[in-house]
Amino acid sequence: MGPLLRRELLVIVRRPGVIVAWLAMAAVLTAFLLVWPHGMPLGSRSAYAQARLLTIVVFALVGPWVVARSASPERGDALAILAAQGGWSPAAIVATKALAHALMLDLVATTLLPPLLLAQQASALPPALVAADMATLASIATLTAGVTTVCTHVVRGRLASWLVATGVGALCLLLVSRLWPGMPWGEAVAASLGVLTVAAASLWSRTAFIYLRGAHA
Amino acid sequence: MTTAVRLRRLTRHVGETVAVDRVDLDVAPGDALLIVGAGSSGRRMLLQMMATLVRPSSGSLEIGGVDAIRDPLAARAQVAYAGTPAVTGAGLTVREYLQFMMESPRGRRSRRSTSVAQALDRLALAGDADVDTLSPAQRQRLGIGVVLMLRPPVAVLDDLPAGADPETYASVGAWITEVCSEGMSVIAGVDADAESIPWASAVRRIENGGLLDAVIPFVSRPPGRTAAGVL
Repeated sequence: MGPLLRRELLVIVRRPGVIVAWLAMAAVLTAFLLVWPHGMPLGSRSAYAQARLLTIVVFALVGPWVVARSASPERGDALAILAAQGGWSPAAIVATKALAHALMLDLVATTLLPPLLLAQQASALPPALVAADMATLASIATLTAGVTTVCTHVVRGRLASWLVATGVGALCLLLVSRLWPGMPWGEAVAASLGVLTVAAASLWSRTAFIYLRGAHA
Repeated sequence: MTTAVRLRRLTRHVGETVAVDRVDLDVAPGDALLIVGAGSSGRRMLLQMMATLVRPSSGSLEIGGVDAIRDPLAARAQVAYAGTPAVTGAGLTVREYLQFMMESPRGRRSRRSTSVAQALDRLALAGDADVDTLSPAQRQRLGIGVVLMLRPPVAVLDDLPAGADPETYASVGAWITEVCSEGMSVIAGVDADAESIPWASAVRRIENGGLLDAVIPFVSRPPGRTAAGVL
């Protein structure tokens, strides 16, 4: 698994998706805090609560794009060939891709730490809140990485797989936030959903990628 | 001695068409067999079945004594394939890709593998070149190089590119001769218009899915002529 993980991380950092996401998310959150340092004059949420909500929404929307944009391109027959050439199990390849993308999204989430700390200071709230929200982002990263990796192998076309992954991920987060509001159950369920999705896809890939599908005479 | 590859009445249907029709074949360790066939002759399908990448419709296929239909993954440990789809090193340089494959489970199992530096030298490819920027012929050569570098008991090489760069292909041909002398079996596929190939120990032609019984006599290279054509 080591060479696969190293290779996937190498491919990810060489593609512009991570840097673009990193800059875009930090810019959006920083701009929000600069324009509305005490929060938008809507409802009773504090500035920190508004910044937190914006962070989660942006992260949940940008995450699938980063994964779909940065993933190594082997799908279908190419994945079967890679597994056959190197002697890897297709399940290991799919699981490693998801792991690499979860790590990468965790890295992207760290860029949101300074603006969140700024919002926490402005709202005079305990710093532990920021730590809890970083854990929330980590659970979203796991869910997003799992769902998007699976979608890139199941759904045809990069655009379609990105759209489906965004929709499924957002739906999962919405359901989780309704059914298990607050720490730590919501985060645990979201992360578990990501892991379970990858586990199911890995089991499926053990048979789906043994033989070539597009074989010609 | 165990046969490296053994096919009996191997058949593959694609829809209503019989792509490969009741092929019998034995390949011994150290053999270098060339299968000549035009597009849609069934050559690619036959080679991909021998590489355990396509499931036969009927017949039997053994690789290194392992039933490849019953246990394709165990049989796959004995055979490696280069052909279509081509190499899978997108996002890496040529050196990184070769290193990546050397660190693969198959690479770690290989006891007599060639070093990355030797492979680069024999393939005449720049180590720092991006795999994504290679020409189709260079990608194909890289794929062949990876298989020869990993030295599985059986190598299946399809779409050997014809024509360009005789020196490089002579070098790869010498590499094939070397691995065959060490007991590795090589089964290679070329288009129907391919010229003679110095390293082939036997040549068979495939037409309409059937492997012709007649062995095409090996045509030795005329004195003074370089190994042009294919490999």
